[in-house]
Amino acid sequence: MKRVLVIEDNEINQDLIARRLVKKGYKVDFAIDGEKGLQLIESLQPDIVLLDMNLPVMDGWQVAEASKVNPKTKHIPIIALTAHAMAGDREKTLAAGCDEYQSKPIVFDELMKKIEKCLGSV
Amino acid sequence: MFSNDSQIGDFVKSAPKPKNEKERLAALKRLEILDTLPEQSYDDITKIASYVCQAPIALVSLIDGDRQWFKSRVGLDATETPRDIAFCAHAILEEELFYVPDSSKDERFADNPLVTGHPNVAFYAGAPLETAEGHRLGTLCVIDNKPRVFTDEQKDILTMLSRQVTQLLEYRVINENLKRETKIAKTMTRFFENSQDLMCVAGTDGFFKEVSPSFTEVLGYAVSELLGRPFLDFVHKDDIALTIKEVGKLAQGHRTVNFQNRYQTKDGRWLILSWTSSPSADGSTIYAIARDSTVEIQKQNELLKSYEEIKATRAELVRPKEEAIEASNAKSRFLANMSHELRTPMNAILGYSDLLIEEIDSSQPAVIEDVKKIKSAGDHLMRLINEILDLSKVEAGKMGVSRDTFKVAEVIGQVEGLVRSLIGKNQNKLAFDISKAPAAFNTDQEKYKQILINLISNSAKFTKSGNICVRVFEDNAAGVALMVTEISDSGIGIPTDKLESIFSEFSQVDESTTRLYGGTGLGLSICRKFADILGGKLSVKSELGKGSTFTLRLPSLAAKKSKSSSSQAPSKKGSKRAA
Repeated sequence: MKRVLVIEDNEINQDLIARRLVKKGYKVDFAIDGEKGLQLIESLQPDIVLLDMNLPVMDGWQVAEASKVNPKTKHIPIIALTAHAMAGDREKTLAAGCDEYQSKPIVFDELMKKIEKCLGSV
Repeated sequence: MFSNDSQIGDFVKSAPKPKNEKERLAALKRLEILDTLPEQSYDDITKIASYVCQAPIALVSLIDGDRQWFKSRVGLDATETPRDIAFCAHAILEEELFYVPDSSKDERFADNPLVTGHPNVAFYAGAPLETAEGHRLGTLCVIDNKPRVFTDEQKDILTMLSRQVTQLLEYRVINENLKRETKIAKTMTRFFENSQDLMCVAGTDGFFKEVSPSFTEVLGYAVSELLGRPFLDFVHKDDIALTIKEVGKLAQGHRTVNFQNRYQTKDGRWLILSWTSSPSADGSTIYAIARDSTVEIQKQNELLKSYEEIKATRAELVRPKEEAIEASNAKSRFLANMSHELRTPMNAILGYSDLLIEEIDSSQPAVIEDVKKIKSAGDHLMRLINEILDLSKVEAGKMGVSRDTFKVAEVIGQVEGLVRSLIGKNQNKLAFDISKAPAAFNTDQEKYKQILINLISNSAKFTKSGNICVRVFEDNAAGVALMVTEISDSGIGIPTDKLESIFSEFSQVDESTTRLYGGTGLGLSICRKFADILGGKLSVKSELGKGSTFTLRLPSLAAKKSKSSSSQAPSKKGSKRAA
C-alpha cells in the first residue's frame, strides 16, 4: 500500500484529499504545519508528499527546499498545492524542488494523474 | 650800489615762491575773488590805510600764479602787475609787516622798473593777508614816491587793517557757503512742503518733531495735532508692538526699509504706510519717509487671494482624481483579499459536492441532480471569484507576467482538451489550424491559455450548431515577430455599436444576453487586460447574424527578456572592474 503524507493545515482540504486517496487505496498521514511535516517526511518515509505551500510555522517553500537537500528524503517526490495560481507559481514551486504542481481548487482527476505519474517515475 | 642801467632787468631780484605755494594758490582760487568788481568794504580799508599812512597809494594786492591783482586800489590806475617785480611777492614771505623805507637804497628793489619808472616806488609797506589756514594770499600795502619813515603807530594800524581785509576774505567764503546752504535748504524745504510722500523728523522719544504738509493732506490731522501726541497714538493697536521694535532698531542706528504699519486717519479710516527711515548718528532723531501703500497692498492681497483661490481650486480639481485613484486601489485590494477569503469555503462546497455525486447511491437520481445543481452554481461562483481576483490583480498592477517558451502545438492541444465539453453543449464544431503557427513561442503560457479558453467559451456560448475555428499564424509584417491567434465563429454576432463595450467589465451586449447565455461578463474584459499586459492587442470584427472574429496579436517576450539580461550584463562587468 502506497503511503501519502498530506501536509495541509485546512481540515476540509485534509478530509477531501484523504477520502479520495483512501478510496483509491492509499494510506494517508497528515501534518498540520510545515515543521511537523518536515519531521514526518524523514520519519515516515512516505512514497509521496502533497505539500500545501501556505502553511503555518514553516511554509511549503522552506519544507520543499529542506526536504530536497536532506539525503534521507530528497528522493521522495513532492506535489505542491497552491491556492495562489499566480503566473510563475509553477516555476517557483519546481525551483523550490517540488516534482509537480497542482493549483487549488484541486481537480482530483488531475491530481490523481500527477500522483500516479510521480509514483511511476520513482 | 653798482648798478648798470643797461642791465637793469638782470638785477631785479624776484621773490622766491612760498613753501605752501600750491595750497596757497588753491585757497586763493577757492575765494573766487580774482578779477571781480571793486567792493566798497575793501575800498574803504585802502582809503583808511592811505589816510592813516599818508601814502598816495594803497592797495589790496592778491598774489596769483604770475601776477599780482588788486582787489582795491587808491592812487593807482593799473589793475595788476607781473609777480616777478611785485614788492608784495616779497611781503607774503614774511609773517610780519614788510617794509622798504627807501627802495633806491635797497639792492632787492633799486633796479625794479616800478622803482626806476612809473609809479616810482620809493617807499613800500605791506602787511600780509594771512588766513586762518596759514596761507598768505596777498597784502594790504601802502606806497609813496618818496622815501619815508613809518611810525610804529602806522605799522600797527596797517597790520590791524590787513586783518580786517583777511576777515573780509574769509567772510566771503562763509558767505558763499551760506548762500549755497540756503539754496539747498530752500530746495529741501520746497521738497518737504510739496512732497506727496509723508516726510517727517521724529524723536526716538515717540514724538514727531516736524511733519510735511502731506501728513495733513493724507491723514487729515493739523500739524499741531500730529506734533502734540505720541505717534503711536495714530498706529493700529496690532501694529504697535512691531512699531516699537522698529523704532528700537532705529535708535540703535539701523535703517528701516519698507516697514509697514497702519495709521488711522482723522476720519477713522486705516491706511497702510510703508516707511523708509534713517536714524541720526546719535540715534535720537529719525528721518523718515512714508508712502500710503494701502491701495497697492490691497491689490497685492487681492492678487495673492486669487492666486490662493486658484491653487485651492486646482487642489479641489485634483483631489477627486486622487481620491478616485485611491478608491480604485482600495477596491482592488479589497477584491483581491475578498476573493481569496471566498475561495476557501467555495473549495469545501465544490469538493463535498463532488464527493457526494460520487458517493450517493445511484438509486437516488433526484438527489444527485440536486447536488449537481449546487456544484454547477458553485462552479459558476468560483469562476466569477477567480475572474474578479484576476481583474483586481491586473488593476492593482499586481498581476505578474511570466515568460515561458512553449511548443504552440502542445498548448493548443491542452486548450482543446479543456474546451471540448463546452463545444459539445451547443452542437458546435471546433477546428484548429496551426499549420502556419511558429513551432515555439515565448509569452505567459497560462495567460495565453486562459485568453484562448475564454474566447473559445465565448464563441461556443453565442454559436449554436455552427463552426468555431481557431487559427494560429505568424505575422512579421510590422517588423516584429507577432503570433496571431484568430477565433472565428458563425454565431449571433455583435452589433457594431457594442464592439468595444463588450470588453468592459460586467458588460454583455444587453441584459437579456446574460439571462439567455449566462456567463460572468468578465471573461472578455480579462482577455483584453491580459492581452494588454502581455504587450499585445485583442480586437474583434463582427457581422450581426453571421458571426464574430476575435484576433489576438502577441509579441514574443523572449526578445524583451534577452534585452533586460543584456542590460544587466554591463553592470556586472562594471562591478567586476571596480573590484
